[in-house]
Amino acid sequence: MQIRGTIARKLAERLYELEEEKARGKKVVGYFPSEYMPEELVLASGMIPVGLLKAGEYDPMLYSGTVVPRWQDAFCRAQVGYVVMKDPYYMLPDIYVNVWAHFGGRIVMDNYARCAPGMEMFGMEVPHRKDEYGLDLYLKKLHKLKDKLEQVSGNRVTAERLREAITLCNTERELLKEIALTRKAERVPIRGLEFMTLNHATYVLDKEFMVGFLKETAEGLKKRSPDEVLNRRPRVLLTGPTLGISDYQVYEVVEALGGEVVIEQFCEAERDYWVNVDLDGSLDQLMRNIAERYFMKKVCHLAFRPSGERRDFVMKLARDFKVDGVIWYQPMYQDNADYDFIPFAKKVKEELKLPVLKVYTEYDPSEKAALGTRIETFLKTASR
Amino acid sequence: MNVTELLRTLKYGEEEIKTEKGRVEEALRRCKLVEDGDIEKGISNLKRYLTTEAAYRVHGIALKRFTDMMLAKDEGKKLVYLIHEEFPQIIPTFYSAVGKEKLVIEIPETIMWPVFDARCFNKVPQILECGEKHGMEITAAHCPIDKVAMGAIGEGVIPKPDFLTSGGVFCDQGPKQCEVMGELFDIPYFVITDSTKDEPWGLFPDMDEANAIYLGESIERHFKELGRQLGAEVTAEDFHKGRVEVAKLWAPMAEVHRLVSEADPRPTSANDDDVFYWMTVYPDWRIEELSKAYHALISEIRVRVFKGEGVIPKGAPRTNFFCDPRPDVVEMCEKELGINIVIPAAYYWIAPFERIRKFPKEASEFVRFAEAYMKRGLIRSGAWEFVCRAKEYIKEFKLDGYMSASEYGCRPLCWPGHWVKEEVERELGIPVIYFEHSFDPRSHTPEQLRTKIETFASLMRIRKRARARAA
Repeated sequence: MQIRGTIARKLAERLYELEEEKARGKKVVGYFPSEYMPEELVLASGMIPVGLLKAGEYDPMLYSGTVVPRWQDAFCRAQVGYVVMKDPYYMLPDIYVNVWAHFGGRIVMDNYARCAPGMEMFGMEVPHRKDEYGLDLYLKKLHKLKDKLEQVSGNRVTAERLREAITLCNTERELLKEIALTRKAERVPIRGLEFMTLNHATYVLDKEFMVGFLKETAEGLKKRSPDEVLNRRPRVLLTGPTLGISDYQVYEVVEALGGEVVIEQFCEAERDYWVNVDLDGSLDQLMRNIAERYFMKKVCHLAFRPSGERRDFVMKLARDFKVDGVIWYQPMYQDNADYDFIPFAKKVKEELKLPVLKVYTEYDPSEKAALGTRIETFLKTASR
Repeated sequence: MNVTELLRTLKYGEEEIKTEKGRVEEALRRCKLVEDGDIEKGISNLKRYLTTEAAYRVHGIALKRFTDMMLAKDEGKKLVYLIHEEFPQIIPTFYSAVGKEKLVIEIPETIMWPVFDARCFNKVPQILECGEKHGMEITAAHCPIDKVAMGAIGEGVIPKPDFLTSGGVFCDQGPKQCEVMGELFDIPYFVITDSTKDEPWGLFPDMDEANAIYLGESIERHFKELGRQLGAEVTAEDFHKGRVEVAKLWAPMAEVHRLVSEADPRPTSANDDDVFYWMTVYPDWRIEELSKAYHALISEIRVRVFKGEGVIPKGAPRTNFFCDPRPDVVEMCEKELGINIVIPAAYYWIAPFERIRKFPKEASEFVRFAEAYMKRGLIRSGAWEFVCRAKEYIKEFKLDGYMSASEYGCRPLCWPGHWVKEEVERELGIPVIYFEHSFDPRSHTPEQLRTKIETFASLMRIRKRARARAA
């Protein structure tokens, strides 16, 4: 199975594919990967969803400095940087949708509005409390989003189309979950970096292609005999607020040092695959099902108030996947994450008796040497 | 520790000194930050930065609040901390519902600031270091205010409260900080508001009604819930009383703004006014005492205006600071660079557009308040809100230049400077400077800002002279 090679090739071709689709009259929706923007609505309106989640490069950080000071969430600054430098992916959409859960999303939205003035925009902030009132507001805002998508695409979102889109997205999530669960095994059949490559590809590549490829991958993994797979130690859980596409330095270092990332949980820019959308009901009911899945059933963003549910979920993953240590990886200057780390680390140490390492990134290539030293030491501690 | 001289400096009455001296001594002893020699240093700092009797009086009110907070539990009161401010009506509302005999509700970091910053005991660095011991890393540009709260509770500088609460409209770090401290120090906590602010570029001061309704209903629901947790019923009437109490301070504040902005030369130091504004935005139950202090300030300003006295030369360039300036920076601007910081921070001022309301009087008290609060525009806002407010502010106070000094430890306040500069220069044609500043006195000295502000002051003077010649 050539997971990374195939996906890399498809990603390289994707921009041309999208341009061709646009030339054929299809419209593209670019969106901030907050995990609160239901792709189902975009697909049901006949448009193509493309998650804008590039990171891991230093140039955009420099470009972002022309409009945003350094003291902002590095991932969000990277997004601003790609807009300022007119990255083709970021200039391609017919409409940019940003559904943000923390303040950094707002900054991306405003800068997009200023730096790409001709582009249609839709922005909404997610309420921060999981209760019926928050759900109600989120649902109202989703209806506004649906109206906007209908207006831009010129297509009505019908119950039938929405159900089809939900089915497609549910299948994609089911397959990601099936593959993720194979990583519970003593000998993990898929590398952490391969899994994250697949996960990130679901934001960018064609949905039908991804579902097919994920099926093929899941089947391929089943056929792998345990003897073909190395028993790599220590087992690591990787978590934090945001992990952009191509920001893979932690995976690379951990794998190079003989360890394995066996599970990860990020609030943004990691496709959540643990919960599906219910398929029953009329259009209104389907809209409600979507809101319930994204706002209530899915584990919350760490900017929620309170967000203990997420900490507990990550702890459960650590237990279920029998990890030996936890790495918290975050873009610099993301305060919500910084603050959340404090009780999280305490809980992991006290309740799970596991070592925790916190590392920051500003996507500077010079970070890698120091990161290598820190992770090597951490893996030795986790192996004991 | 003999605090009598300090209390006299802060305009405590002789009777008050007799009753309060012991309490103040005990409060200062318990916080473990103030030693005998610090009292004299504190008095000397107050004299260095303040130029009016009224400003001493307001610092006295801050010390009273600090003392109440330190001794609340010994005096049989429930102690609640409201972390990271939020809107001023919260504290008077809960005093109305629960009663000041049973409760002390305080914003610890905010009330510690005027007592412990450079204007008095100058101990902020020590408290910030306490915060850094509890996970708020020094390199991560965290909010100094949050760090003070974390450090003060974590290291026992102030007592552990019975309850923690916070908002999240003003800043989304408040609720997070509240949650973190609750989890870390095992204190019950509850967040009392939730809001969404997603108006597109150009819409403000108009707003999405759904956002105002959500915020208003959230305040109503969560106030009632917090009341239940404190054993009291919080009604719409309590909230109305809270609003009325706060409104009593806005009129004298507006009068100070008027007098200061119309006077030439500036009659008082911005350091005098700033602590008034700070206490107005975060008042407790001492509204009447604060009102009296305001009237004393107004009288002092009038006398100085009548005599033509000022703290800077006549005709000095008029500007602002955007966020609260540190006292040493104000001192440098006024005494050395000769510029007039008319009204330091834009959020201490009610813009004309704030008075235009969408929701009718029949709408709930909470929703109407939510609308008013969201119109303030400087709360977890987009860049357009900052631009819009800056433009109104410049016109209102006839500024010669706009200083967009960003607190780099504050995510919402540190980012929109570029767009403010671009929009204001384009539309109003006055110079705008955008620079970084921090409440954390360890981050930079006033000297490090001198080159920037000095050059900017020259630019304002040149432009002002050119305008006068052209006229």
